[in-house]
Amino acid sequence: MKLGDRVEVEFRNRKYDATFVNQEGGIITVKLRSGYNISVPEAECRIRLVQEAPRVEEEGAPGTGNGSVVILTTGGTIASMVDYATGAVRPVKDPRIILRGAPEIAESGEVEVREVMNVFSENMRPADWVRLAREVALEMERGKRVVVAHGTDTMSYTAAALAFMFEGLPSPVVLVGSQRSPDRPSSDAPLNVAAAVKFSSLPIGEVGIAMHGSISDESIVLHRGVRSRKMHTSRRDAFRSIGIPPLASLSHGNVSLEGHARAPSGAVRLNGRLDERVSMVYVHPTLQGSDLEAMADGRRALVLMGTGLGHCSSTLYDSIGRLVRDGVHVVMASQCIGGSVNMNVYSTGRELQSIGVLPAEGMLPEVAYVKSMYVLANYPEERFAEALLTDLRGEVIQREVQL
Amino acid sequence: MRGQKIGLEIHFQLNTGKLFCRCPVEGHQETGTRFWRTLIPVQSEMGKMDRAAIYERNRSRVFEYIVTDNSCLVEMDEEPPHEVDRKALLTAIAVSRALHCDVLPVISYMRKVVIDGSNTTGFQRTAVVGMDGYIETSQGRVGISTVCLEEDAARKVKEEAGRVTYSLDRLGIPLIEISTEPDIKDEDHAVEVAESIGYIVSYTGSLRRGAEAIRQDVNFSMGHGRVEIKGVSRLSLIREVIRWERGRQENLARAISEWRSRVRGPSRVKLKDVTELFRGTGSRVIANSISSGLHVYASRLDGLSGLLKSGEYRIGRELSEVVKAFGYGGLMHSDELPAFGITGGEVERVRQELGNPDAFMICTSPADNAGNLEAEMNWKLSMLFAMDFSETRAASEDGETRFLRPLPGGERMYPETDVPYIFIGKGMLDEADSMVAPPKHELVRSISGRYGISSQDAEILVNEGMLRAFQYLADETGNPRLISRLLLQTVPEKRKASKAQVSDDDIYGLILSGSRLGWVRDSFEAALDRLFRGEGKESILSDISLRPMGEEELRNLARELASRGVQRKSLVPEARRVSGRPFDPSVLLKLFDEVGGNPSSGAR
Repeated sequence: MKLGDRVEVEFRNRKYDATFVNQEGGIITVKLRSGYNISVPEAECRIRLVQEAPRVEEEGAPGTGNGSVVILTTGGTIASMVDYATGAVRPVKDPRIILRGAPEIAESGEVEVREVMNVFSENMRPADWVRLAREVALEMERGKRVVVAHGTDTMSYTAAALAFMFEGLPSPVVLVGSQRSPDRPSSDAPLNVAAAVKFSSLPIGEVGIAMHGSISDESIVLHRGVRSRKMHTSRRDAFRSIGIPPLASLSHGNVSLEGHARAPSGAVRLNGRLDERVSMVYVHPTLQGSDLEAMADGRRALVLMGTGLGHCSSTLYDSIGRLVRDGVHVVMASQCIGGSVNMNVYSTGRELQSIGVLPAEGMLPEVAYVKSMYVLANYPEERFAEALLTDLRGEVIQREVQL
Repeated sequence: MRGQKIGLEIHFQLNTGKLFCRCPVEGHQETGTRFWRTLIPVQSEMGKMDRAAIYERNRSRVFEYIVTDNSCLVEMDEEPPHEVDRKALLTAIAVSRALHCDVLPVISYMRKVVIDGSNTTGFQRTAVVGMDGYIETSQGRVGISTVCLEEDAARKVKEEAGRVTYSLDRLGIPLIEISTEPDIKDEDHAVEVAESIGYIVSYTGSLRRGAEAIRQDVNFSMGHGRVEIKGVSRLSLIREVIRWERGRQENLARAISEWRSRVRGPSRVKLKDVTELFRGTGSRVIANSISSGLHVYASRLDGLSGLLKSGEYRIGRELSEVVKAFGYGGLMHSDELPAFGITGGEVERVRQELGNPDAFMICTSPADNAGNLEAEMNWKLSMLFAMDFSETRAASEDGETRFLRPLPGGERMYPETDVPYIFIGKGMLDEADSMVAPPKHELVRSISGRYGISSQDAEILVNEGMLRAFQYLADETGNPRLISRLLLQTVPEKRKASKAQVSDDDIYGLILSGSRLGWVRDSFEAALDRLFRGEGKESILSDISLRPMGEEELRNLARELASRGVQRKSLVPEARRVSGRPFDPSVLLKLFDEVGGNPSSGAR
């Protein structure tokens, strides 16, 4: 039986005229005339097909227009709807659906939507970042503005990776996600996407993330990819710019651009080389030297999310020293997220430096992690420290002001 | 009446905790946070868009929400739902059992799309718990279609054009929704059914108290489609609403028959912008609309002359309700014009502008939404012409009904993927069975017998949902008659005289703590009086002047009064006056006799 079939369900000596919804894990779900679904164990009911579902016309064709903006979808909440037949999440291809709630953009013919991949963002690997970057470059070479619909879980990792790999950007790459799926009337997706499309025409050469600026459907902000972080599991305004103001915001149809956004470059230049051999460790009270060494096995760099200004227990010093001697770059960032690492304030910090730990200074831990991949693949070994600490894309805060 | 079908949908708020988060049900203080949202209609799993949802989209409004102290990120739609409140679920199961329903082995939550803003999610979470039951009544069995456990909607605080404000205090309160089959014979029968169902829910002890705790929807049809009348607040209003709606439909049917004899098809509304004709108008309504940026529109209404408003014919009101639902004021039509400050000259100019139709209308709307308004009015006219009156209406406090929105179809529901299936095992069924109500007369008899109170008092305790509180306090204090008196006389009196909001928990808590301090009736009455005057429970309980006089004090008082020659029959009031303290009158009388007080006349 399939979705939409008319069926007769017999359950506890009563017969119900119903529509088949799905069958999953030993439970049959049907929709009654009243509109309610009821779910009953297969073993307790008998189901009989009355009439097959009429063939449902296919959803509108994917947007293949010659729009000036292309939305590349990668999966995630924003580009998916629940498939009621299987309970699985399926990608949305029709721009009219992805832009539901922003009909003026959907109907403008300005936007086309293309699926690049379909993964939950937690499953994304550096190879996916490179693949995505190539697709973005391709579109930009065709003169398109680019928006990337992305799952929110690892969106800032992807944004950071794209930011480093694009050594030249004629226009922004705008990543956009949503915290409420588009199959809900209260989804934040339409506003986020509409804003992302607008942001994509800003005269800047940045990789940014467009999400709600507050819990209201009022303003959408564009965060610098290398300074943003998902700071809440479920709120619409989960993404925050850390230590700097957002690059731009859209409120009541008006875009305002902040002065610190980076200027575009003439042509798109992509350097798709990353060295995956980097790992990141959250420093915690029972962390042992052997854990660290296991995590660093086969890696060329290890980013520590240290405590406070950049510390870890002195019981780890021996292992860290061994790793450094073996040629692993040990980088210290802070689990505080806000503020810079400063390993000169306490003697422990100075001791760690003397062992060879490299402070990540004003860089977010995830950004130091992604940047290490980029630096390892593109700079000579002896220039790792210098390159890592050089501000390449606005990721290093050298002067943090009160916001 | 022949061909009349009546069904009820009754909603009961529960006092458990909120359904999908761990917020308390009570509380309404604003926290100072407000936020704004828009909602977009979605398709159901069957791929169809609901008519009611399209209607809401056409109204394109912004919703403002007020955050209260009994709401969290779940109500704000900023966090997924938590597990269902277990006690609420048990209550729904118990009610299903009492109504002879099948309790489903698997409860699966649905999202019922409601995009009028009353749910921040754009849907109401609801699940069938029991189905296919019945209730015995004086006129035979009335079928129970479903017992659902759902979340209450946010409370509307303010509505203006394009913007509606809701408070989150009510959002998420568990509601048991009981739908009957259309087996109800007439309005009196409807009231009886509602009362009987009310008893069953009340018996569980989980029924919330308060004005909005029970809300009835009436489904009514007399051959012209089903009308769902929302929000009948009082039981007695059920009668009036049914009578009023029947009258409305009878008159509409007559007017439409006349209309159909004049024209071949429904008139089409085509809104024409006539704002220029009304520049400098003397009509304050129109002038205010224009200055607030609205445009004035007019349309022909062919064939409707004399049917818009003439005697009982009121098709004009039907159209006016559509405009009002958009929040742009009302509608004026040729049967009632000139009026409202609009002159005969203006009426003639509009009529000419429209090509001299027999009937026409004037309304105001923002220019960018006039197309949607026009579409809704045409929908309404085509429904009326087809004698199909089915729609959702709202009941007013005076028993009338007005258009609320088109009737939603079954397709407005889709599965709530954030709430896993809930499997109902035997353990839960057994647990729920202790909350299943016995037949009412049996319960009244047993309570009256066991506690030594009158069966009238026992019946009121049952009807008013106070049985559990009474039993608990009576058992704890060992003084059922006093408790019955306090709950049935003192508290209602004080409540009536007071403006303060006093919760049942505070009242019961005060009585319980007072009884542990040895309070007597006087103490309780004085204490309750102070509670309803706004004094805190703790402060009342710490006041030693409420503690009754001890035996030694009373003996001294008796002696003093006896020596002043107070008669026995005026002893108690005199003692109250003199001492200003509570005491047990029977003890005083006994001591008075002991000290040789005068039973009838002055001092010896």
